[in-house]
Amino acid sequence: MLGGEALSFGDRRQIDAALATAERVSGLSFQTYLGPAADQTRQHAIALHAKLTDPDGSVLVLCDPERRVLEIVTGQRVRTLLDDGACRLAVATMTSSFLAGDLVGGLINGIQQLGEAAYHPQMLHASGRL
Amino acid sequence: MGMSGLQSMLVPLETLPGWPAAPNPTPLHALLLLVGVPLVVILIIAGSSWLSSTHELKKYGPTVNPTTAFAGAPGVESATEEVPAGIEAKTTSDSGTGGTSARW
Repeated sequence: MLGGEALSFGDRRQIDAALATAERVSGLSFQTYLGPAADQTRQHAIALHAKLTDPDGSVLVLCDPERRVLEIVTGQRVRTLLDDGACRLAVATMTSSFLAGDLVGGLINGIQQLGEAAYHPQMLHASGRL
Repeated sequence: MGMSGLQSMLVPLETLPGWPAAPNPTPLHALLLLVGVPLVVILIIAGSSWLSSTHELKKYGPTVNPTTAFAGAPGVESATEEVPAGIEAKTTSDSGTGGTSARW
């Protein structure tokens, strides 16, 4: 049963580490909301995303295990690096693990996948510094 | 010089001639050296590791818990209908934000 389980300290550390890694790899800000969401989960996720320090450069992953809802919200600047297709792939990864009963593992894998998808190495020819 | 003389030169087990006699260490000194010093080193390494981990937590923040990530989690209205099994994902484009939604 996924819903209602409190995260252990180890789980939190693992998710924090995944968030930190994704931020280091991508240069974006990643936030995770794990808990109850309002009825309109998408609007709720967008409202939470808007409250972040830098919404345009942030990715919010909202997961409500009780209602089995997962939302990913990306800011305007993030969308140039992390398109909706990459988000859908990460969602597929996460929901697969959720269906298997692995909430923490799904979150970790999804966050890592989002971070890697948002990674774009700097290219000299693209920045005009040849 | 016999074998014992060579051995005593390589591994001097006694005070060399002309040197002041070395006092035998007390059990307390031996205990301090064998237990206290490793304990201090272990504490220093553990402390530095803990400090670096807390610095990382401060930098990136424990954002998993909604009560710390956001002030006040919204109320939940109990779901009355059964959520269908399987994965259902959809993309929404609202207010300039991107991303996707899914149920499982």
